[in-house]
Amino acid sequence: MINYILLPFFSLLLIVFQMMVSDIMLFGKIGIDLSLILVIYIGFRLDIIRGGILSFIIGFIHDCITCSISGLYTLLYVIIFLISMLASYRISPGKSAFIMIFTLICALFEGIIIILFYPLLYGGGISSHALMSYIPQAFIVSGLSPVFFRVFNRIGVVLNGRDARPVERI
Amino acid sequence: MLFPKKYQSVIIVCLLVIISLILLSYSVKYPSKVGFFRKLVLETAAPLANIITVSFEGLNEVWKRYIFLVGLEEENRRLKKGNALLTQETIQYREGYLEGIRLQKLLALKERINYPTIVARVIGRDQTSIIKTILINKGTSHGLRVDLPVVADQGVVGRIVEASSHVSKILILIDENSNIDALVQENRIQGILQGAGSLGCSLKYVSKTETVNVGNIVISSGLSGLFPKGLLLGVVKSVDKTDGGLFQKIDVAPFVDFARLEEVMVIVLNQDDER
Repeated sequence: MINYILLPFFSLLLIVFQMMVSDIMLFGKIGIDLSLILVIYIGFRLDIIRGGILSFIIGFIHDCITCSISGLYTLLYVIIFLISMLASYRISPGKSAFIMIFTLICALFEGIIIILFYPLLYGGGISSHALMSYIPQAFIVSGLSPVFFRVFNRIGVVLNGRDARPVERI
Repeated sequence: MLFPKKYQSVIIVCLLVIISLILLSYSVKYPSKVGFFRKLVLETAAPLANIITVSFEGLNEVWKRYIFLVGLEEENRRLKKGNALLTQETIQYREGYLEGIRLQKLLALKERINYPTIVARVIGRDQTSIIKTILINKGTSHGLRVDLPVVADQGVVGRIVEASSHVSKILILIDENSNIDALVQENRIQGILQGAGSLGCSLKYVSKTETVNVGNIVISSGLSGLFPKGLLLGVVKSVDKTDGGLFQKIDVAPFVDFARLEEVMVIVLNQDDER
């Protein structure tokens, strides 16, 4: 139960933190989507119910803080969680290279979905600058993912009192 | 349980996706309506954002200050270097300016003297030993020779006692071996101006019957042939007639400050002039 209280709060903190880092240190030019790494991590580590609900909450918080429309990131994060979870059946996330490649694919997928949905949701075309910023963002998030996987793992150990290994699946 | 356990997970995920899609659709249709949970999240995020912003700004400030200090040190070093260069440049300009003034004075003197002259720079001085001399950077290759008179803008410096190819040695006025035929300008009384070391000079062989006053100007008489007539030698600083003997004791202060002499002018007399 504690996970359902602490993890959303931790997610909120993470999203606020990533927003501030982007705003203050990178002058808002590039966003570092750390919450995406968290969702991928959840996909690899948690069961479908807990992970699904947490991804939903993280997406919703992300929507509330960074988007004017609710539901976009909520849907995206649930989908990315499912993809991660399905990938975890086939591949072990032990190697940094795999985590990086997988995160890069997910970040690019996220970018493509946002670009595709943007005209439908906001009624206008996305700027070329925003379009081009997704690629470096995806690479930065990909590069940071192994580090944050370790950080999340440590937090998981602190919260659960043991290493957060994949639990019983469907 | 409403659903069988083995489908529970799939159903929950499907529900989440469906809720997300409903949320998205609703939000697109009614963008101005802000739900309770959205408000709750924003209200919770605001103080967190505030704390993080303040912390970041603090760190940013420290970082900027550090960068500023690093920059300041660099700037300080650069400014110090620039300052040293400018000081050096100023000194050079000042030197040039002062040299110009001195040379201008020498030039004015040159115009007064009806003989060819050679300007030379003082390259060494020896005024501590018994023989008081200075060295100049011109010698026989420039047309100088022994016994030529040397003057500065203030007056007579001395005479050349040694001349090599590029350097000459001048016996200065205050050396005890220096003797110049002199006149007291005011009353034309003649005497011999002899060097007295650090005391200056003394005008010798002036009879006690003659009147010489403190402040009288002493000039070269031109009689010996070494110094042209009328060159400034010094000023009478004391007169003593009490001493037992035929002559007065007259102390003369030379016009030239030998310690600060930098450029001099050698009067190139020809052999006939000297005679």
